[in-house]
Amino acid sequence: MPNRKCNVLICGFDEDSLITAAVGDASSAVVRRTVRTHVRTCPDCAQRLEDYRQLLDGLRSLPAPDAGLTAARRKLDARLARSTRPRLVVNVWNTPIGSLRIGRTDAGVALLEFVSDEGVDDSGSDARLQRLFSVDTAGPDDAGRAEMSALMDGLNAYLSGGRQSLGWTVDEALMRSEFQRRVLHATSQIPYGTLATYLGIAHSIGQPSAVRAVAQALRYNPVPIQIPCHRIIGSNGDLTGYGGDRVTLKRDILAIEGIPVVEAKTGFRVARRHLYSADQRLRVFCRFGCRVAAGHPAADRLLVASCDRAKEIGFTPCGVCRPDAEPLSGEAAPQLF
Amino acid sequence: MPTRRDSSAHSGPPFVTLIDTYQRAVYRYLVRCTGNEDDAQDLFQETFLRAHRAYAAFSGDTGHRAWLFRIATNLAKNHVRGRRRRNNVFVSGCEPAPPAWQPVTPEHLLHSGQTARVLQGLLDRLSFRQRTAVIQRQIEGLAYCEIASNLNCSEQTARAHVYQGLRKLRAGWQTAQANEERKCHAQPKV
Repeated sequence: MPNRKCNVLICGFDEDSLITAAVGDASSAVVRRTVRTHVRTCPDCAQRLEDYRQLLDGLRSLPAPDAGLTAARRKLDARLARSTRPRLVVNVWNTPIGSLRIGRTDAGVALLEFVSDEGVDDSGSDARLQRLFSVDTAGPDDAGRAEMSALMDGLNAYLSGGRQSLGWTVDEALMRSEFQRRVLHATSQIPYGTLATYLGIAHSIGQPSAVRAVAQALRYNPVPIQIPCHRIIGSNGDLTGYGGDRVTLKRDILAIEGIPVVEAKTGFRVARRHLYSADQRLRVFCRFGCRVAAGHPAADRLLVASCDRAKEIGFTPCGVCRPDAEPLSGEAAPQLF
Repeated sequence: MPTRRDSSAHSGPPFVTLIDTYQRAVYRYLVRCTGNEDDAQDLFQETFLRAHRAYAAFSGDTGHRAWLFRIATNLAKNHVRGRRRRNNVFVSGCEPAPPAWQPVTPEHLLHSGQTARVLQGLLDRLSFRQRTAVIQRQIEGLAYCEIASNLNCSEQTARAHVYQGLRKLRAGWQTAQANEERKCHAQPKV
């Protein structure tokens, strides 16, 4: 028996047509007209059509359960916040300064690590990444490749001295504490071709006695080079350290920025005689050994690689030692790469 | 502190916007499908969590609304199936445990004038496919092609589910009214 026969009413009319007319599905005017004509003569079908209309009205006017929705949404937000781990795309690049591991999120570059031959040194770092991110080491898709080549261009331009910053956007997700965040923000303010001291950074974040804590915060800088922790040295001119035991890398990066580094018995130190001393508060720069420079407070002092660089940053030459009258010899930056 | 976007590859609106836009419809749908708000709250969360995980890979072929309803439908289906199975479990030799979930009987409710609960009770008595098809079409206003995709059937079948469901609802409504009238005229049993 064909199915449609089930839908035929006693009067011989098709019930589906009634439903079609009631729900308003009818794209065909013929059905609507047929139903209209039929119900005029058949009170049963007229009643049935009215029943369907009432039923549909009832269904559509069921009250919205909004009270429960608020609670459900609150729980959902809490679960989403817990379950959301942003995607981190990790790639390893070979660059003139060695292999670098770079991790990008949507917000920017979250990770830049120097990779030694044995792999990444910090063994705890991978577990931390897995905890904070959904780490994706797969090859880049098209969009990722374009983004990566833009990052690479920035790095290469910086390493060849053609650019003063990488120009990357930083995702601060891997910064470990509010203190570290403040240290790294202060470090980001140190201009290209200049040096500040750990003491100076400690002063600038308002914790002058936290010199060693500043050094530790910089040791765990998640995005070195972009956040220029290499521009921070000891008050006595020692390079001190870089990313653990990579002090030679610090020397190389400083050389790109035109800062001469010499090897002393105690390790690498900057050649302060070949640098200018600038006072950040007074906006004045002097030759090393000038009596005005001797008065620069350690907290405000910057060392600048060249006279021109100091002027670019906005320092004015000291009227006593006249650093601009006869620039220091050997200012030209040695090009390593 | 830079803010992170919720999903990476997808170029559509942020996921939060999707929740804001469709939360009422999805929640309402789940309440109608499951017949109680506690289950609907759990399924609501699960629907959006699943959607969130899959959002990056969502191609956008179907609309967001139909996609969310599809996820919600699948979850509701599993949930209803699980509930039926749970309610059938009993230890041999003992009396069957009373079901944890009791369908609302329209006859009991009609006299209190709660039309909404009567209709919900009637919806609960439909088969899952008929119930979801009726709700999606008549309450949420999805197109037949979207319902067909959600229920893995043809458009014709989706339409048949809706019509069959409406026929049963009307019949149930009539029975409920007839029972109520009979009760009103009969003497209450002591």
